[in-house]
Amino acid sequence: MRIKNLCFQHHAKAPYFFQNLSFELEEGLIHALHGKNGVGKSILLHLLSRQIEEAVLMSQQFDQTIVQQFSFLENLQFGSLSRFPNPLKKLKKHPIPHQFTQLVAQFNIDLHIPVGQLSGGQRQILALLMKLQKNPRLLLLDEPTATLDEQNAEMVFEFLSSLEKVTMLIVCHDQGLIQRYTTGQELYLEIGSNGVRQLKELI
Amino acid sequence: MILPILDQLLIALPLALGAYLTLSLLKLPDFSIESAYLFGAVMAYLAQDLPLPWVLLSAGFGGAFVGIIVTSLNQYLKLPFLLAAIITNGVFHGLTQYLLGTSLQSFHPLLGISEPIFLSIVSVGLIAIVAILLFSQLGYSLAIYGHNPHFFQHHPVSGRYVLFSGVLLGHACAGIAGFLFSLSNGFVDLTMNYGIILLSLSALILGKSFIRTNKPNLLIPLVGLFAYFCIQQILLHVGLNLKYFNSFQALCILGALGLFQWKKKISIDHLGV
Repeated sequence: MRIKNLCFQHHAKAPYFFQNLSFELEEGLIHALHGKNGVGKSILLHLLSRQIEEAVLMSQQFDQTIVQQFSFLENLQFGSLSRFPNPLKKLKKHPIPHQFTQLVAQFNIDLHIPVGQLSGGQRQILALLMKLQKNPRLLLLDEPTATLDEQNAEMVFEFLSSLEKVTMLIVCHDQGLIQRYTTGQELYLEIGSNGVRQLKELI
Repeated sequence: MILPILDQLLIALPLALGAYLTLSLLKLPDFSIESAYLFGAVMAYLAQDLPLPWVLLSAGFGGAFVGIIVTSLNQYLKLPFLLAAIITNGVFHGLTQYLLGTSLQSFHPLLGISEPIFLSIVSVGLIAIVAILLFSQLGYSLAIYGHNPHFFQHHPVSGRYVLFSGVLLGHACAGIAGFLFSLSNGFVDLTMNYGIILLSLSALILGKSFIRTNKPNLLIPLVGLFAYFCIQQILLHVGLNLKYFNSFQALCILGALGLFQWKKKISIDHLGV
């Protein structure tokens, strides 16, 4: 997957934030994006989600993407809603895509209780599954484990690593997790001398 | 005792259905439902010489028009819903006065069938429409909006479409209820909408006390409204003066919400208010 000459300014008269930024991500692997706070990692993920049609962004606030009062299964049904929900059609009957049935069983998730009662990691997995229903080619994850404890963070990364054929670019400050689960490149975003953000590949 | 309950139930049923959509499912502080109720009656009054289906449609349109205004103020001028509802109420109070000419007008459209049959047909029709909606993708989207309005920022589903659909349908129902009230009483009155929001809230709180679910459920407004009129009739029989009924309702709502907060095991939302 090649990103070529990406440019961004906050407004027309502002200096370039990104200028001709180009990089390549090998398909089907988990890539990491590093950088100091405020350098623009989240902006880059947002830009990519807008520029690449088959990219999906998962923000830090994963609880905003689910409905706590409804069950895991019902939330998955909500994930398949169209832009204009039909007043005459019922929700999709079998919300778990075939390829994820075993995965859900593996993480011991109760599918029928309100998801507010599930652990943070299980809720994050639900939020990811809802996004995955759109069959994205690129999954952009902005600090997916920022609000989770160690055990739940591990669970989320285990889930991510079990996904096949999905390219991922992850911002995460937990170096241990990144080292264990990254299978692709590690990119480092920094501010260049002229204020323009630059990407370096860490070896 | 059962006949006055049924009579009032049929008249107020569309209002309870409308309030359920906006106050309970969307959880909006929707005071403009009072204006929708009155404006529906006013539009029916203006169309009273037309065939009955057109009068009914005019009432629904009148209510929905109020819904369009309040939702547009909220969505396009970015006003908080409560403020949008207050402004809408002010605007429609003046508009109603202008259209009616005086504060009271007699209202006698040509029915062609007996009033109870007409009320029953309208009620059954509206129940069928709302039932279909509640089990649909849109019905669940209304509940999603009420529980987590941020959902729509993270998924490719139009929150604006969901909000407009719910408010328009809810207000159309309220407009029809205003028409039925005027039909039953033979007049359209500028003050006929006072206390309507209290009636709606009381019925919904009662309904939610009996049927505890976060999912869209048609029984909540139906059971709640029935319980409301039963309690009203009992209170009238024991000698409560009707002029104190609004105060009594307000105190009951306060007491119920206080009880729900005090007993934390019982979870009930504040119905948008």
